[in-house]
Amino acid sequence: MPIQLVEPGQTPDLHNPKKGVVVGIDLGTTHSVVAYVPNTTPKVIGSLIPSILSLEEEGFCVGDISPLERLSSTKRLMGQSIQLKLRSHTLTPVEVASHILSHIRDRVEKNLGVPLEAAVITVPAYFDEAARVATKQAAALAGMKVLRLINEPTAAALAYGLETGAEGLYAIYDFGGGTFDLSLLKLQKGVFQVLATGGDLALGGDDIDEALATYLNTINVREIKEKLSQLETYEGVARKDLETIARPFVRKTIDITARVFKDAAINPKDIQGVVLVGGMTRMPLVRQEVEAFFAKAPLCNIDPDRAVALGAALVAHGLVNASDTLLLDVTPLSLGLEIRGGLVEKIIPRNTPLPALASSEFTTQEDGQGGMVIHVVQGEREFVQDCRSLARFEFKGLPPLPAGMARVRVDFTVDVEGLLTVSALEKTTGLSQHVEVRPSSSLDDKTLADILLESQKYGREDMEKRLQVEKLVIG
Amino acid sequence: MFDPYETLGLEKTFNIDLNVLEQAYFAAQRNTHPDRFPLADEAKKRDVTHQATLVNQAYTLLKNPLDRATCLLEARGVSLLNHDPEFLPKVIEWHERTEAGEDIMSELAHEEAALLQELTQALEHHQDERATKALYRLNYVQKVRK
Repeated sequence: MPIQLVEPGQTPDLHNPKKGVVVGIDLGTTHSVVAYVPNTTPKVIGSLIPSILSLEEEGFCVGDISPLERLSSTKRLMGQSIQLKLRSHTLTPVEVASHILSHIRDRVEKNLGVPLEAAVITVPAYFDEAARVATKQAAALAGMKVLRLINEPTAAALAYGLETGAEGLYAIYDFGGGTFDLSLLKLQKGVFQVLATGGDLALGGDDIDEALATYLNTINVREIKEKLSQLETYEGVARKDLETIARPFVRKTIDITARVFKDAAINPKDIQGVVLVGGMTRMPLVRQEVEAFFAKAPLCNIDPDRAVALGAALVAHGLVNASDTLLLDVTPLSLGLEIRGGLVEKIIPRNTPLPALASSEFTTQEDGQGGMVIHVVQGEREFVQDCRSLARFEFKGLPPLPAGMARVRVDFTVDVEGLLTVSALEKTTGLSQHVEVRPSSSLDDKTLADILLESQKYGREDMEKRLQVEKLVIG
Repeated sequence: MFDPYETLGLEKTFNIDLNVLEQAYFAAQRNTHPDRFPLADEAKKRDVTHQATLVNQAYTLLKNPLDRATCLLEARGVSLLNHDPEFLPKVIEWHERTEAGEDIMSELAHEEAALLQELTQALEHHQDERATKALYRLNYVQKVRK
């Protein structure tokens, strides 16, 4: 049954008994959370789901089952072309995410007794283009319709704002297992406007675990780290030792925070409050450092593990019920093109409100030049080699003109989910080409079909449904 | 031609109350933001996305005083300056003093404030030539300060 959507102003049909449920999913590095809105208040379905995949006798399993042979924290690899080994199998990070999403769907359907119609999935605000596309691919592979991707801190702000009716400038400090995000939002009645965002895709609690593991020469340190948020010593480790190890990572989050405020030309003292999200914010050291930076105590009246999923559920509910709440988000990273000398020309600077469109004109460097390479990159650095390469295509069939005469206009459009489309147009002939940016690990149709067959062998999902949705979303 | 004032339904004036600008922006986004049209087909979605993009561009331009002045002068059909011979001696002087190791940043900050006032007055009194000069100089000073 197709999902029921309602235009603004129309009365939604809330009492259709056959209607499935729409959910918000926080697809996290260390654990995932799913929530829905039964009436008006969002509610988490079940408990936190460890984002861990193992291969048991009955097939792929999600959860904290096998302590040794398992894949965990693979969210940090989303968008990278990488093969991960799990016993005799190799999987991409997209496939791991798709198993987690299938598991979430099963749980929702078992718990609520209705089919999962569609989901809002959250991503770190600082997730780049490739990682966003990879997240959508994972959902397609799991046969899940994605209503919208939204940024985690924005979801958390929404949960917080709608719950408390807060208005004004707020910072969302989101320090999770794998990523750090700092977003600066203006909350007003019915409008959630992101002013600036920054972060680090490779900075999270996992890094602290790793450093602690090296220090203690043991592998299972997460429990020690978590217990030391309440206790002064645990298993012979003192909190101050952990703090010595964690401090450089926490300092890094504060440096990023300072840069976001500088970007937005806003004084940290002018904000109404700081909302803490992500498991790492339970660490007393994190709270102290945040408090010192903002010169005010952070707000912790929402559960840092659940806020993102609750916010995503509110967005999902809002989208299908045509709510009045407006979410205005920005691009996390600058988008640009390679120009002469390996330099980057920024076309869309970071923190541009979405959806965005920007164009730039280029010309040929040689007489009769028949083509032009268009290399799209993402990042803040000046040289291509320091930025992430998103797509490279050759614009062919330029008219034979003297150098500098052909005029190629390149348009960048970024939609509300942060997904980029690049098109190029030769202005004298009207010749145009259009590419949608896909991550470098993009799967072709055949590999996708293979994966689907394989997952059917190990899973219980209906393959036909998957293929259909996959066609809808990817095709 | 793209006119950000028209896009947001605002009166063509330089002195904009930023709260009024913001409210106009939100009102426009309520009518065009793609999230408001979950039922729309692809063509309609593309159309509203394009509209929302223009609304974002208009807001971003009008929020920045220099961009706002540029839009206003362009809307009045005034061509902007790409050089200003009367300003050149000052540029040379600043350059020489910087080369000599002098810190001129606070002086430039004062200059910027004075030029912004000059620009505001010129635009409010429709003295477009005076405004283009102030705008050209302001652009230069801002670039140097960055």
